Amino acid sequence: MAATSRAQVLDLYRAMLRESKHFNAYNYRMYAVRRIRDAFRENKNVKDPVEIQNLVNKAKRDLEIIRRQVHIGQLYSTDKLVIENQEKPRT
Amino acid sequence: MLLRAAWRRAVSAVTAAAGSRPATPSRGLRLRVVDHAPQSAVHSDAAPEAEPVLRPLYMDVQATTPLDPRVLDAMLPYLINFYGNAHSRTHAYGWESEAAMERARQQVASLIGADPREIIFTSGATESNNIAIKELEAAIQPDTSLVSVMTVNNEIGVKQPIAEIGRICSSRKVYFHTDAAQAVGKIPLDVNDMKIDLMSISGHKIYGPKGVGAIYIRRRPRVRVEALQSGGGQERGMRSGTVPTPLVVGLGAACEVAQQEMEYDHERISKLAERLIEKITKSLPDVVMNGDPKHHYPGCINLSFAYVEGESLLMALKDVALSSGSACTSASLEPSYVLRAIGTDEDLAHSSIRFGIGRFTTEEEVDYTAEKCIQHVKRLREMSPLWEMVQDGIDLKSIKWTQH
Repeated sequence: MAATSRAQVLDLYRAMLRESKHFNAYNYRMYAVRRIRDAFRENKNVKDPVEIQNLVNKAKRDLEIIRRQVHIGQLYSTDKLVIENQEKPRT
Repeated sequence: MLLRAAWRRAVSAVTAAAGSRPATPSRGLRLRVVDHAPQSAVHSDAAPEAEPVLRPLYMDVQATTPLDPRVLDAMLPYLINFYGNAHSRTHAYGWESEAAMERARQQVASLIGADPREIIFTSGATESNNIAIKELEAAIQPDTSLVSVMTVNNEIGVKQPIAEIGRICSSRKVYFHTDAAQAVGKIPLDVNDMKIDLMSISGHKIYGPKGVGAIYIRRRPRVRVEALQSGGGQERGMRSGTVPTPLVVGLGAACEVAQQEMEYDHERISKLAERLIEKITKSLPDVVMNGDPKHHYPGCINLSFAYVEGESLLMALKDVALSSGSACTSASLEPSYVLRAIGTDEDLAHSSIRFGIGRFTTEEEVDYTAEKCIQHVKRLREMSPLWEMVQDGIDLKSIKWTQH
């Protein structure tokens, strides 16, 4: 498999953020978006291709986790939190 | 890809048919109704209360924590298809369950610098504490004793000097147990660096499931414990009973996530804690933070608001889930033994509130909590004759309350 390109990393980043915004639960949704942004930012200067591939593989697994858990959360959704009324959802 | 799209359409068709709110009684406690613009006709068939109700913010992580989605994801396969008993030796169901259990054991051990053979799964930190303390009664030498200390206190967040205590116990040949329920995965712990002999671990304090925990029991030098629960000899004879694979997988996953996220969480939680304290103390006088500020875990903030009664403030802050004192003793009206022990005045002990900040707490939640707290403390103080007297310059300690 060819080494992951910058474009592929960005696609993965966007896919993870997009999926995370679908978490029904406010706390999970906010955490996922924040954590993904911070993690990609933290690792943006990694140069070693092996390490990059490891990080990308882990991110792909995490994306699958997010997909499954978003879906489960939607099946068991409940009322919103008091704070969601005031702030814009899906920030 | 096509299959998943079709599946998604089917799922949304089912949920649309039931209305955006399922016709079954809504899960969760309905506390407050929000006025919204009139809903469409679809919703009128649903349960009588068709208006959305809002849930309070969760600021009580010392009582329990939500599951991390990564933990639930790890557990589910063992609740669906991989349901074998980990102790069944004769078939694949047993083998895969055992492999999962041992992987979880390694994850727990790795978090605290232990060997997996030193981790025994239990039903929680309470059971672990009981096993550790019973050791005292089963001591081989009549003159051995045990020191048992909480690593991080659950009421005021104070961090005990574990490494120093460990060093002292080790030099005096006294066993050292610590209940690390509030500390595991939040601050770095190493059983060898800190010379810990026994440690209690709780699943539901670290974004893992309820009903599971572990006890760390040192092998070198060997610490002997007596089993509380006897039976089939599972867990090296120290804790009989089928190990609940889904729960221990959850505990293991929670430990692994905690190890990865410890630094990130700690930094964020510290910033949020500072923000909460700063906002509150900037707008309110006569607020006391309970617990040594230098040796303190930031995610557990215990504040006393003078001239305001704690329970009434808690009730007023109905949009925020908080606690005063510890959940395990919250049924009684007595002020906390912890606050009394650190020398807090009786009246201040009655007005203490505990704010819990965790991995999933947001800045917005902290700001909202601070605002509501300030608003209600001001309101309650306005109603307080004690506060009025203080404003008039009267020294409350000089008042003679009785007539003899």
